[in-house]
Amino acid sequence: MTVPKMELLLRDARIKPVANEMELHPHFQQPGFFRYLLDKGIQPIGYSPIGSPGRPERDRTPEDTSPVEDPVILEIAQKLGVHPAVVCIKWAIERGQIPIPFSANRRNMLSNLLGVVSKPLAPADMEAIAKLDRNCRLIKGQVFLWKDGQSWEDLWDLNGRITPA
Amino acid sequence: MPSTLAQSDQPVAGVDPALVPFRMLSSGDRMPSIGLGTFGSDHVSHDAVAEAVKYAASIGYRHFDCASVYGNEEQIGRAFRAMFQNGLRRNEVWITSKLWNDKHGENDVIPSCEKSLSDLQAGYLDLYLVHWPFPNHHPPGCDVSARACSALHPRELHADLAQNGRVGRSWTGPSHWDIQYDRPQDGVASP
Repeated sequence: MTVPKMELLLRDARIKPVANEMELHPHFQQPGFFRYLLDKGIQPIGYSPIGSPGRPERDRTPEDTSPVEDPVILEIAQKLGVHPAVVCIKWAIERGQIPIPFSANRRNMLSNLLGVVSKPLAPADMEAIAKLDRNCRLIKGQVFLWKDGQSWEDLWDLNGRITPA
Repeated sequence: MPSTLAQSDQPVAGVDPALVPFRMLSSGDRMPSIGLGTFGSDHVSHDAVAEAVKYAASIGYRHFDCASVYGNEEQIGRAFRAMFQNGLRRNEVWITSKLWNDKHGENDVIPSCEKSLSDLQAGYLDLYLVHWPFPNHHPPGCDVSARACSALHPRELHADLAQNGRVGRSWTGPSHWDIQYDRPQDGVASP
């Protein structure tokens, strides 16, 4: 989903959406769309909140970066004595999105949840993470292209207008 | 501690779900501020994901983000049933599901939603999302060369689902939407 398409949806929908699920992590913060949703009263739900280390091969490219390997995240994690993933979760909660991390690892599931109820990140840490955005979309949607000559960027209306299908 | 939900005789460490903050939606519903994703990608089996759901509930998770395309709603549904039989109430849990890309057609939406409802054994969904705005299908585990177009145009689907009580008051939202509402796709009839 993108701003121009949400505009159309809000124009046409008889019942207004209450939530929008989107990729959100420290390296892909989507600040414009995020703020837009809050302004419209639409709750952002964030998938890949720790950078989706287990995503399928088809969603990997050499340019991808990993928020849980970011030096700033690592430094905050070390300071708090938690896994870097927990820092990403805490950042998400405090920023206002609802993260939906997947894990089948019991220890990680528990530490992610404990991160939600333990002491929030300091404002300085929140500010430091806000500066980490790299506009690095990990789930690019390559499998959704159905016309020759399109690139995955075409799916995301990067120039602010809806890319013709 | 919700130790009654533990899968073994050992009480598990966990978090009191009442301490987990929530977000108030515009519908007035309270959505737990963290959920467990259930996409096992290409390396976690359906049963292992269902086990993860059970364990997550036992340590205090009360929000599960499901989708028909993950292929594991049946297994997760069995986990939900076990949880409810163990005393968890349905209204203590937030359950999301999603409509897959090849089910955007006018006659496909409601059956698809009902299939998720039946698989998940949840009675109702708290949130039903259109998974992606892209009306095509790719099989699980495919590579980027797999592309196929089918149908689309869910202009009124949300309203219909909400009015028929299949989804909770929260209704829905787009998930990773990109739908072009007023422009039928090439070769696809507009409803």
